Amino acid sequence: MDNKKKYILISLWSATALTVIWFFAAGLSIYAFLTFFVMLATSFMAWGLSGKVTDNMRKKAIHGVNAFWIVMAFLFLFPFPVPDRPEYVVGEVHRFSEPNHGWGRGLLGALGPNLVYHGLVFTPAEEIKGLGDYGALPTFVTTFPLTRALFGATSITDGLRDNVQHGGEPTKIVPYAWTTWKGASRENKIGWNKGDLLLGDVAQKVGYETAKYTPEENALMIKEIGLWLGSMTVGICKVDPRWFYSHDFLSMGTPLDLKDVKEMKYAIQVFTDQNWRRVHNDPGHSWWSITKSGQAYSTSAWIAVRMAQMLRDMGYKARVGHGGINYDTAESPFSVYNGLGEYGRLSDAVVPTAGGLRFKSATILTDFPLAPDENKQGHGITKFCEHCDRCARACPVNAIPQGDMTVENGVKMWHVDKDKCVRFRAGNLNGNCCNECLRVCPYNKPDTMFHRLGVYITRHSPISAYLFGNVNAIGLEDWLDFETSSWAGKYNINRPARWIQEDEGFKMKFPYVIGKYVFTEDDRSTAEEWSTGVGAQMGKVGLKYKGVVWGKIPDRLLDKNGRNRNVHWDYKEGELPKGLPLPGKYMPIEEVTKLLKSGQLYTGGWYKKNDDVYPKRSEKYEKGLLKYEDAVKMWEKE
Amino acid sequence: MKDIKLTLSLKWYEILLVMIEMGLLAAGSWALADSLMIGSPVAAWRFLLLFIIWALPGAAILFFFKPGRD
Repeated sequence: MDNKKKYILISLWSATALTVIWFFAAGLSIYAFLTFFVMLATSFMAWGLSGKVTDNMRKKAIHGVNAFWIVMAFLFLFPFPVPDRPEYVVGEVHRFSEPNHGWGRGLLGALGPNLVYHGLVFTPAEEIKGLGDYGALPTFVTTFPLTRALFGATSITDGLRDNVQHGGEPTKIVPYAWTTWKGASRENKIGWNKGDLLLGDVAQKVGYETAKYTPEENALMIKEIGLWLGSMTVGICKVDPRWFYSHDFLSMGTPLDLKDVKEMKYAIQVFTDQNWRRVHNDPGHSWWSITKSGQAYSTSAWIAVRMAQMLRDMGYKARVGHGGINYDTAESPFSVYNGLGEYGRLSDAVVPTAGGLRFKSATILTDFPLAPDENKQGHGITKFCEHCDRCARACPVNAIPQGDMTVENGVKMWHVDKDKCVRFRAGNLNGNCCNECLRVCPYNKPDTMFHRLGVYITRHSPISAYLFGNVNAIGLEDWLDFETSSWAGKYNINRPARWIQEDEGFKMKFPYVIGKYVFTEDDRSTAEEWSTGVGAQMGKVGLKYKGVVWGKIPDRLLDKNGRNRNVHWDYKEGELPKGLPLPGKYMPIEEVTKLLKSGQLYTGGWYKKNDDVYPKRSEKYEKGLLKYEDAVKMWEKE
Repeated sequence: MKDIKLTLSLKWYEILLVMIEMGLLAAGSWALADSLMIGSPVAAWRFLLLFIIWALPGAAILFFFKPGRD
């Protein structure tokens, strides 16, 4: 071999070695990984063409490649034991106040008046007036006819959620058809059907015999019925009372006494797909976004209210929580503790069998004895999210945290900046809500065999999170670039971030009272200054990603007036009238304190001191570190 | 018409590599078909390319890295 060939070979092998250094230095970059294979192939080819190769060298090279792939196949495909679900509860957990969740704060006015009335941008005031019964209107929901039709359906099912009222809900009970009793539950329990026989697939599994009503048998029946009614999957778990909201949103502040719901020991969760076709193909700047939520919420609700009525008719208590805002509980813990999912970077539960984040769920709380699903085994999702930040990168307002998990309310997970998220979603002037985190999540794929293999690998393989993760835009999903294939193209990920801002100098005045609920100084949004446009360039606006500048509206999305063609730009500049009133009112602190102490007003929030919460927190469940398993045992004895 | 005689002599480890190469290309084809069926042609192409790139070193050794040259 002459010197020239030798130098070429040395250079090629050095370059191959450098790709390995690049791979690790760049945090396991997929580009480095692929370049390594190309360089390796080039080096072998050049060596073979220009150098002397012996049988022994060829044998060793083949053994090396074979060994590499056998080891890789083993690491990716062997059913390694699945790690346990992470322990998320690490400190004192307080019940969450529903008016204090993102939508509650936004719609009740705690984030400012412009956000509440942003629907005026799209819809005449006369048309909005009278659409809702509960204070400020969720006008972003009522902007489009299809959205109204789908979200409106959740208002219809609200009255069917239960036949007794607890904590202000259901706000208006509607008697179910074909029933004459009005109490909470029947005295005489009746069976699945007249012959009391097990039905369908359950009968096939356990035999066509008379139901014994064991919790296991009941769970099987409930799951089959749930799937038959259209749920993607069905989860069952025991209830942790801390999941109940402390105060209700729809009746604006009514507290929920745990004694009133102590018989609700079990939870059945049903899921509806928001649909890959929609989620993948429609950007947040189209009006599909909130409409997808309306579809999945109302479909889940319809599955749940019918199943709940069946349980009530059998003689048991059953109470439905469904979306948009008709829940008695926080929803995501159910998806974690029924073993179907784990908490991800978005603060929500990722459920692989329900499209990752692409679902909406409804929950039936009941005293019908049910065997809970196994929930100790995890899915590797939290671990995967440690190595993946696609949702955080896609968020137009940087509401999703990058980096490590933090502890809030005694729960160690990633905590989204809900005020930023809601302000953008409710006030998105270039569309209707958002969609980006759901859309870019690697778990968001149709449920094909190939996707199932991917989920299997993610769950079992000890190295998949490192190679499939996407921190710093270098993961497998970035290489695959599913976004470019969506109908809206790469602008899906890069749409303009423009949202309703509050008037210059706006500062919320507390205590702020709406209905029976008080927002106090502790509830002030940390994003308040940002909401007025100060630092509006935060987030990714103006930054380049994949060659496109954030914040620039793509020409093809503009109408003849230079506005985004996907929304109804039928208002004049000025966007909203100045000085809009808040739906609630400011009240002096002395007066508020008096009314709080006399039980005429209420306030909550997990971050408030015990003495500042009305009514008082449960000493039993909201004090000290209490794991899920222990809370459940205590609740069973109530 | 003359008979066409094909002789192929492979060692066991070469057969194993051929199988690995075919497996990688089969996986790439599956990924291609799956991604096309869910309406993602760019991802489909990238998936196929991914497996082809992974198969390159093995292919280079099979076809080029052998005695008898120089």
